[in-house]
Amino acid sequence: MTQNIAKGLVKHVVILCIDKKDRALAIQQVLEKAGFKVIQSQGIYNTLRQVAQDMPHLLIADSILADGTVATLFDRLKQDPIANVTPILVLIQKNTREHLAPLAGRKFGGFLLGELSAKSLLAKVHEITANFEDVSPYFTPIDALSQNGDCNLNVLGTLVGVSNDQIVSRSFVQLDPSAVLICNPIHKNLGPVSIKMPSNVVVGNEIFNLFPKHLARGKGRDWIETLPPINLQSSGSSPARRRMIFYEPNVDRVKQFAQILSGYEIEVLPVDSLTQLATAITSHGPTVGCIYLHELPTTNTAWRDAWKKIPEANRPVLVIGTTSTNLRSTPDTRYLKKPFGLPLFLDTINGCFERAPEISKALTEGRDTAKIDVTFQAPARLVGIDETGGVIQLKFPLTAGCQFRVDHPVVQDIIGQESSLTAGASVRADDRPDVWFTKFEMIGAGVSKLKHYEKAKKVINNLALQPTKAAS
Amino acid sequence: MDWTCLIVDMNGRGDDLAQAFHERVSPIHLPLDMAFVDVNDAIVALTAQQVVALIVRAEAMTPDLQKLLDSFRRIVGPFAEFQAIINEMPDPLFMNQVYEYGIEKFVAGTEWIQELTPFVEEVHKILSDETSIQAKVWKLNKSVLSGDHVKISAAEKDVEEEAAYDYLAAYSKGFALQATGRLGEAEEAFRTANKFNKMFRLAATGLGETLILNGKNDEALAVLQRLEKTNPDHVERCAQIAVAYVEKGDIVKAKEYAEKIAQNAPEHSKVNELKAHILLREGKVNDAFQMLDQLSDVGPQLAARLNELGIKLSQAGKGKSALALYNKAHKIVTPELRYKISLNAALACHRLGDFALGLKYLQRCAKEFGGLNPKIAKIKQALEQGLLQAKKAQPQKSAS
Repeated sequence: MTQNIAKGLVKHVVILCIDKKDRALAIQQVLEKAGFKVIQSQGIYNTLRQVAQDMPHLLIADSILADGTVATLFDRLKQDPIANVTPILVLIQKNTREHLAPLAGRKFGGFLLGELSAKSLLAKVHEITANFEDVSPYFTPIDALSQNGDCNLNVLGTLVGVSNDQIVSRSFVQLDPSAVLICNPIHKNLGPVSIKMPSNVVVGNEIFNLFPKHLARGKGRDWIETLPPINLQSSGSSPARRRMIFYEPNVDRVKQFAQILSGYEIEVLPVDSLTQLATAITSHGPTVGCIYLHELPTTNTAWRDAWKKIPEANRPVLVIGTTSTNLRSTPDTRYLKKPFGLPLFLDTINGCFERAPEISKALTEGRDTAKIDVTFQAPARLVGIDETGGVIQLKFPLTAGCQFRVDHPVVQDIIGQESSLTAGASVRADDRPDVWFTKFEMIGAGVSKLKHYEKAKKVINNLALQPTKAAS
Repeated sequence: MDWTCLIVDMNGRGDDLAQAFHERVSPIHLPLDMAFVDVNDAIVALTAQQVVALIVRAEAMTPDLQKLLDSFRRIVGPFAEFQAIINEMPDPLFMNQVYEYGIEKFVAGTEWIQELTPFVEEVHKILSDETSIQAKVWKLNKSVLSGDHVKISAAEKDVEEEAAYDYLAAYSKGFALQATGRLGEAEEAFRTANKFNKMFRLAATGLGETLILNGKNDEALAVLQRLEKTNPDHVERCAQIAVAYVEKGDIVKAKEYAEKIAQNAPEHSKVNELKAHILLREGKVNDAFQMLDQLSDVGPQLAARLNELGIKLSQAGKGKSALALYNKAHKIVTPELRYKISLNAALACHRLGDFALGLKYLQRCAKEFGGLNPKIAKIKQALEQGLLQAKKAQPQKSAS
């Protein structure tokens, strides 16, 4: 494999073929706690059927089983043209000839001898999965197919207008604030625009993506100017509330922020303790646009209780400073990676002043809106294909559940041009802060894993025979 | 020539940074040359080398840092993607101050090396694409610095299409048009930049500056004072507001702002520039004249005043005083403004009847401009004719 994929991206599937139920249950608990998906199975033949169906990344079996030995399991599995890649971890309970004999002459994934501990089990399991770079044993890297992985990620949306300085789009996905996208209108007369820093607002089943208009750049900038304003006032809503509660224990910093924000016509209600924060939220929560916390408090939760008590329609967005790269923003909580610059801070705050219910109401009433179908595009790299989908590399994380398309011929050959993929976990590369890997699923509803993989494998095998071809 | 990324430590405790640089940055291959330098060397490097990116460790705004950031803005451009500050927890006011130079990115001291590779790769990728807006703007900025109006016009045409839809291209076009004296068009370009990105303060500042040059002092004050609310202590903007008041004739208000600058940044070059500007407006020409030696990088407004004064002196028959003024002015104004002073000096020589000296000034003017324009050509013809007539008159004089 030519590329190091970040650990933790793929949730490994483990099948346990262990006769004693108590023991199997204990092992299942240890593995599930460590993030594995575990399936219990009894007996060699049931297990073989289960393996063909679930295509596990690891099979853990006792050396002596009720209906034979792990040797039979190994030999039968090796005859399976697809499942033969499954590594087997053998648990040898006794150091006797009977228990050791099945291992002779066979290349198992690993062994654990004697009394089992959670620590030794996990260490061994991680060692085995690391052998296939911590992805799936069914994973085929794109490089191995002599293919160029470069492609575009596409998300469909509809631009509906502008609210203050925010371009408003309806889509079916939440977009990460770090995303930089090309907004490509379907209408050919309109040029592409680069947009970034999306925030998401969700109203019922509707998702709106908001993009700061002043960050839109590119040839299509002119038509962005012609997008109609969404008339929030006439929907009977109150004007955007440019007030915020500001929690930061360092009083000087609060003063400085308040001074700067006043220049942008944002009123700051300063608080310097968590007790004060809870009180301020109770008193002013429904009338402010957002609440800033310099970091996520780990002890006091009174402030959160007070926040949750605010009716959803008036609940202000939380903006929380963090040094963690693992926290993901949601429509009601936006994390700001510290240290941040002033424009990022201001754009985040301004995005929070847009009231989702007000936008939704105005749009439902159909006033002053546009309907420009667009594709949000970002450069991506297909890293490889596995039994359920594959892995792509991007410059930002995708939100789990996000529906998207990629214009890579390998993916299109497997599932067709118009089919969508679904994002799973996204993990940042260990050595590159700007590289993210996303696991995606491409199995359609009602299609078995095996059937899907057989189709994928056919495409993969065909490509492996062809000379190098660049992605379109 | 290879492109360089400068790493500068403003905190004066650069041992750890230097050590990290030498141990962890030097051994890795990056698409830009990396140089760890002190602030003075950084300013020299900016003018002498192909510097394209800047990473600074700093806690607060100092005159040195302001000078460095201002140099980067003028020489390379106000590119958010090409600049970063290493600081774990920047003060809000510091965040606000560096944003005046287009800096948006902060990085923690523990993470800067990890962030370095993607940062320099991005800069390299953007500039390697000659059609990118940043590459064109960089080229335009370099042409403005050369002062060569022919080069500036060519580079300005190169961003014309992008300036119709991109705030950065529009801002840079405005900057170039202002440098070449096309003030009406510059005003429009800055308005476009400001319309496309209201958060980008440099566009509003440029608009305010050009409005003053166009005599629209009230509108300039409205634009600049709106911006002042976001950062009341920004020296350059306060200086612009003061100049607008000077031009409006409200010396009292101008002095209030001048005083504010003198208190907040006594060593800032704008302090004396503003004083000189006020003295000129008050008619205290000798006092202003004495201050000129202390100035550098004087901008278009005071330059315009100095030119105006020189013309008045010349027209009043004080040609030698006018030339002395022009000589001083030429040394202190920014490069793109020099050709006009040389031109006026040549005209003053014509009035004085010193045609040979006039031709020397005109030769310098053409070099600074980047060639002959119709005006320079016309004056050259007049000077050559004058010189010829003077030579003809010479033997007659000697004979008589």
